[in-house]
Amino acid sequence: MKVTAKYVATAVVAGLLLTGCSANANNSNANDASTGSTTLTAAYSEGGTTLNPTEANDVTSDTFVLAAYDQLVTYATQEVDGKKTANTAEIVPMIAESWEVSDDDTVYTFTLRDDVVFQSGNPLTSADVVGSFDLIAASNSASFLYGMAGINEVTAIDESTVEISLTAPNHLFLQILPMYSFSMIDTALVEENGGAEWLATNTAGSGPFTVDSWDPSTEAVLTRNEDYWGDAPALETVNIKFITEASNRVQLLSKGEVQLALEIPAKDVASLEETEGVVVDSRASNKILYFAMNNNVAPFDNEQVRQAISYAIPYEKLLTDVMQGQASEMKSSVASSTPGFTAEGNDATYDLDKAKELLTEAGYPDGFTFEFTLGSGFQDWSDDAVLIQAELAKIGVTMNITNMARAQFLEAIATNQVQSYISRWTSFVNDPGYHLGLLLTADGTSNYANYNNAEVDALWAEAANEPDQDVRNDLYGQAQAIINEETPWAYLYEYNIVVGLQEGTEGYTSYPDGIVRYSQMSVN
Amino acid sequence: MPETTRSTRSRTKAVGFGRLLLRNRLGMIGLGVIAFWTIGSVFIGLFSPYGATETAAGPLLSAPSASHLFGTDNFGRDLLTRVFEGGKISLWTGLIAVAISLAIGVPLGGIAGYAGGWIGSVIMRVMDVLLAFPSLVLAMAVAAALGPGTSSAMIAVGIVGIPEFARITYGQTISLKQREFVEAGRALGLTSTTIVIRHIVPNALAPIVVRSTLGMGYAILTAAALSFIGLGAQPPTAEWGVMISDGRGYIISGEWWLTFFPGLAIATSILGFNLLGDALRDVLDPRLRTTA
Amino acid sequence: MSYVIRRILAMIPALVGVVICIFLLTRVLPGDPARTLAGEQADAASVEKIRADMGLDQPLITQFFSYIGDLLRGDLGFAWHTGHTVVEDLASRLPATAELALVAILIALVIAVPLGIVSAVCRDRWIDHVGRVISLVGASMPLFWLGLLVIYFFYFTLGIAPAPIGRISSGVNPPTEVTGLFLVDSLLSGDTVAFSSSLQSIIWPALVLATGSIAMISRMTRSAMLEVLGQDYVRTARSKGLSPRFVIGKHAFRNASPSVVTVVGLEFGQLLGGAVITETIFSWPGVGSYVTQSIMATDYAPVQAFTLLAAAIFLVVNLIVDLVNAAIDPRVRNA
Repeated sequence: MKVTAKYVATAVVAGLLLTGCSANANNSNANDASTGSTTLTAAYSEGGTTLNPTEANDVTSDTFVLAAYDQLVTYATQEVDGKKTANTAEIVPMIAESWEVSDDDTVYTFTLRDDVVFQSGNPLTSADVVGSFDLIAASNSASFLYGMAGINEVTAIDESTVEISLTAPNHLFLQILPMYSFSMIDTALVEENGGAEWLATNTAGSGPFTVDSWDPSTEAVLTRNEDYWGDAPALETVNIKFITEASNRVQLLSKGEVQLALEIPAKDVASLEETEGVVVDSRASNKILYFAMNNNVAPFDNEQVRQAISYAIPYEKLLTDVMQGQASEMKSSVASSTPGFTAEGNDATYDLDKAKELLTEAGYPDGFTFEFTLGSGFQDWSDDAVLIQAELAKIGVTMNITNMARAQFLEAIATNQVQSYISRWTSFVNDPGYHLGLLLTADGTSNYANYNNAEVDALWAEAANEPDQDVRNDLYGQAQAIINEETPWAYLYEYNIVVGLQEGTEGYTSYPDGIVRYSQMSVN
Repeated sequence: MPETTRSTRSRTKAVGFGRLLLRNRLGMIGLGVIAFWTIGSVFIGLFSPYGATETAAGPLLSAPSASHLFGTDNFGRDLLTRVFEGGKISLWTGLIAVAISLAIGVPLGGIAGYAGGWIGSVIMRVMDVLLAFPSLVLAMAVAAALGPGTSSAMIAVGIVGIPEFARITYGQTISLKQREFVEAGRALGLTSTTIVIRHIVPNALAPIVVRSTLGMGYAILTAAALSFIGLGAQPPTAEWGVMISDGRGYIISGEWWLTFFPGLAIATSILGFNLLGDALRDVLDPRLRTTA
Repeated sequence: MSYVIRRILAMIPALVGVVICIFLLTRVLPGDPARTLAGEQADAASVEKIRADMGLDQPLITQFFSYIGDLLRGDLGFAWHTGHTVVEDLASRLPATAELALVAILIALVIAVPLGIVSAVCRDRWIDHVGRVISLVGASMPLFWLGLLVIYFFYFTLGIAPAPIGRISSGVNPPTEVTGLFLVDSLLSGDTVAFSSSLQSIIWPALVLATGSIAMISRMTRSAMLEVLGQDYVRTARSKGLSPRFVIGKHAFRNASPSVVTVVGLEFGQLLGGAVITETIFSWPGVGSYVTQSIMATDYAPVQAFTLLAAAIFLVVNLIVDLVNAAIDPRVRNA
C-alpha cells in the first residue's frame, strides 16, 4: 500500500539521519572533553541536598562546601607510595596563619591572615569567625560536632585574633576544625540576605571556587574564584554530573566522557583497570563494615556466643567474592589507618570447628535461631548476608533475614532493639576518641548494639582529656583489646575508596571523608 | 430467543464456548505458555539438578552452556533454576493480587450498580479517586508504606486493580438491571440478593473473566517493576524483578544473561495472559471486541 | 457550556479525595524523614532539631491544615532530598517528562494508527494477525527490561546510541531556554548540534515508552475502524464507486476518530505519570525519576505534589478528550 511505503521510507531516512549524525556529535563530545586542560567533568551518584556548611552531611553537598569555603586550619598532605594522601595527624594553617595553646590546653588563640577576602568582596575578620561559630552552634547538624569539640566560648580579641576556650582539654578540637562543617562564613552577606536559611541554596564563602549553578537533577558547575587569596586552582571549570546508575558512571569514564567518577562498584574495577586511558585509584580508607550483635538480646548477651559467630564468618570469601579485592581485612573496632589502631586481643578467623566448640561451651550445642535486619541500598550488604547465612547454617545457627528500606532501617536500629544488623561507619575525624566515643561507649549515640563495658568507658574518658598522643594511643589500645576480646561486633572489612580517573587527571588526594578537593586537581 | 431452561442454556453455552476457544489459535498458544510456566515452576525441583539458592552450583558468572542453560550468576547459582523458582513467586503474586482486586472490586461495583442512588455515587467517586492516581506511583507508595516484601507487592498491586473491576461490574450491573429477566424476577417476588447472585452475576461474568486474565499479566508486570525498584520482593529471593535489578550492573561487563532470561520470562508469561485474555474476549462476547 | 461546567465541577471531589489519600499515605511510609536527612552518624538531638524544622513534630491535623493552606497559596512544599522547593524542582523537571511523553506518543501514533487501519481493512488476513501479535508483544513487554536491552545493544555493543545520562550529551551545551523542550528550543535558536544531540538522546527512551502505547492505540483504531466499516453509509459510499482510500480516509476514519482520540489522550496522560522506571534507567531528569527518588527517601512534599499533579492532569486530559469528542460528535454532548 502506498501509505505504508511512505511511512517506511520516512523511517529509513530518519534512521540514516540519526546514525549519520551520531558520528558528528561524538566527535564534538570528544573534543570538548579533552581540550580545555582547565575543565574537568566528574560523575557523582547523588545531586546533593544543601549548600549550607553547617547542615551538609552527604558527599555531594560536602564537596560544594569544600570548594566554596575555607576553614581556620586544614589537614597536611603527604605522599605515600607515590600517591597523595592526607595526613590527618598534622594540622596546618589555612585562614589562621598561626595559633597558640595555653598551658592548660584549654585556650587556643588564632591569628588570622589579613589577606582573606570573601567572594562577595567583604574582607574576612574575626567578627566573621565568631559569627560562623555562632551559626554552627545554632545549627541542626554541626552543633553536635561543636559539642564534641568541647567549645565553650569564641571571642574576638581584635580584628585578626580570635580566642576559643574549651570546657576541658580536648585533643579532638584541632581535628574537628578542618571539617567542612566548620567553614568560615561571610556573616555580613548572610545577614543582608535574611539569615541562615539563605545559605541552603547560596554560598557565602572565601573558597577557591564559586558554585555557578546547581540543579540537583542534572549537574552543578563550579567556577574558579579569580580573586582567591590562596594558590589559584589549576582548573577553571568543574562540571559535576549526577548519574544515579553506577554502570552509567563506569561507562562514561571508560569512554572518556568524564575525567573522574566516584562510587565505582567493586566488580567493575578489574575491567576499568584494563581499559586504556583509565586509572583506578583504590586505597584503604577508615570506612568499616561491621556485623553487630545486640548485647542486650539473648543469646548475644553471652560473650562466647558472639565469639562463636565471629569464627563462622567467611572473611576471605567476603573480600574476594563480594568486594572483589576492593576491601581489606578489618582487625579491630577501629580502622587500621586510624592512629592508635591495634589488633591486640583479636584472634577471630574463619574456623567452623572452633565456632562449633565455642557454641557448645556457651550452652548451644545444637545452635539457635536469630533475627537479622538488612538495610537495603547496598549490594555488598545483601551479598554478605547471603554468604554469612549459608556459613552459619553449617554450624546449626539459623539467621532469619528481614529486609528494610534504608529509611526504615535507620529508624529501627536507633531503637537499640534490633537483634543483629550490619552497618558501615566512617569517622570523618580520624581519631579513636571520636570513633569509639560514638560507637562503643555506653553513652555513644550510635552504639545501637548496647555494648557496655565500664573499663572501656573509663579508658576512653581518661584519654579524652590526655594531651600526650602516645599516652592517649596506649589507652585507646587497651580499650580496643578489651573490645576485641568481648566481640560485640564481628569485623567484616574495611572498604577501599575507589575513584576512577582519566589518565592525565592529576592531583587526587585521598582524605578520610572521601571528598575530592578540586583546588588540588588538574587535567593534562 | 427460544425459551429454554436456564440450565440447558448454560450447558450449551459452555460447550459452544469451549469449541470456540479451541479454534482460536492465538488463545491456545497463550494457554500453552501459561501452562509451561506454571508446570515448570511448580515442578522445577524435579527437572533441575541444582537448587535455587545453591551457591557455587557452577562457576561464577558463566555464560549459558550445556550444563547451565541460562548461565550462572555472581554466586555461581544456576540461573535456569532460579528463573523457574521465581515463576512460582511471580505467578502466585499475580494470582493473589487479582484475587484481592476481584474480592473487593466486584462486590463494590455490584452494590454501587444495583443500589444506585447516593451509595452508588459515593462508591464510584472513590473509585474515580483511585483511578486518578498514576497506577505505578500508587503501587509504589502502598508497597513502601507496607515495607518491602513480596506480600506488600501483592497488596499494593491488588489495591491498584480494584477500580477497574468495580467499574466493569458497575457498568454490567446497571445495564443488566434493566433487562427483562430482572423485572421478571422481581415480579415473581425474588429478593434482591437472589436476583443479584443468580441472575446478574453470571451474566456479568464474561468481562470480569477477561479482565482477570489480562489483570494477571498486568499484576505480574507491576510486581516485577516494584521489585526492580526495590519495593517488592528483596534479594536474595529468586523473583524475576529482583533478578533483573541485581543483573543490571552486569550488563556493561557483558554478562547479559542475568538480565535477559528473567525479563524474557516476564515478557512471555504476560504475553501468554494477554493472548488468552484476548481470545476469551473474542469468544465470550463478540460485542466486547469493539469496546475498550 | 453547561456541559463543560458540569464536568469541571465533577472533577473537584475526586481531587479532594486524592489530596487526602496521598497525605495519609505518605505519613504511613515507614522511616523517619528527619533521620534520613540527618544521616546515619547524627545523634538524637540533631534529628529532633531537624524534625522540628520539617514541622513533623506537630500533630497530624495541624500538619494537614498547614499543607492545605500552603496548597491554596500555590506552595507545594520543600523537597528535603534536593534542598529546593518542590515548585522549583518540578519546573526544572516537567519539560523533560513532557518532551519525552510527546515524542513517545508521536512515535506511537505514527506506527499504531496506520497499523490499526490496515489491520481493520485487511481483517483476518495474515497482516491482521501479524499486527495483533506485534502490538500484543509490545503490550507485554516489561519496559524496564526493554530499556536495559536497548541500552545494552545500541549503546554498549553497537555504539550508535549515546550514553544514557540525560537529555543531551555531556559535551554539548543545552539550547537557550524558551519552552524547556530541547528539540523545540534548539530549532528556534538554530542550534543544530544541540538538536542532533537531544534527538539522539530522546529517541531511545521514547521508543521504549512507545512500545507500551502502540498496542493500546492500534487495537483501539482497529476495533473502531471495524465498527465503522460495518456501517451502512460506508457500504453506500463504496457502492457509489468512491475510491477505497477516500472512503477509508474521509468517512471511516473520521467517524472512528473519537475513540482513537480518547485512547491517545488517555495514553498521553498515562505517559506523563507513568514513565517512572524508564526515566530511572535512562537517567532522564524528569518528574518520574524525581518521584521515585522521593518515595525511596521518604520525602513527603514531592510525592504529594506529584500525585496531585498527575491526578489533575489525568482528570483534565479526560475532560479535554470528552470535549473534543463532543465537538466531533454532537450525540455525546447530550449524554
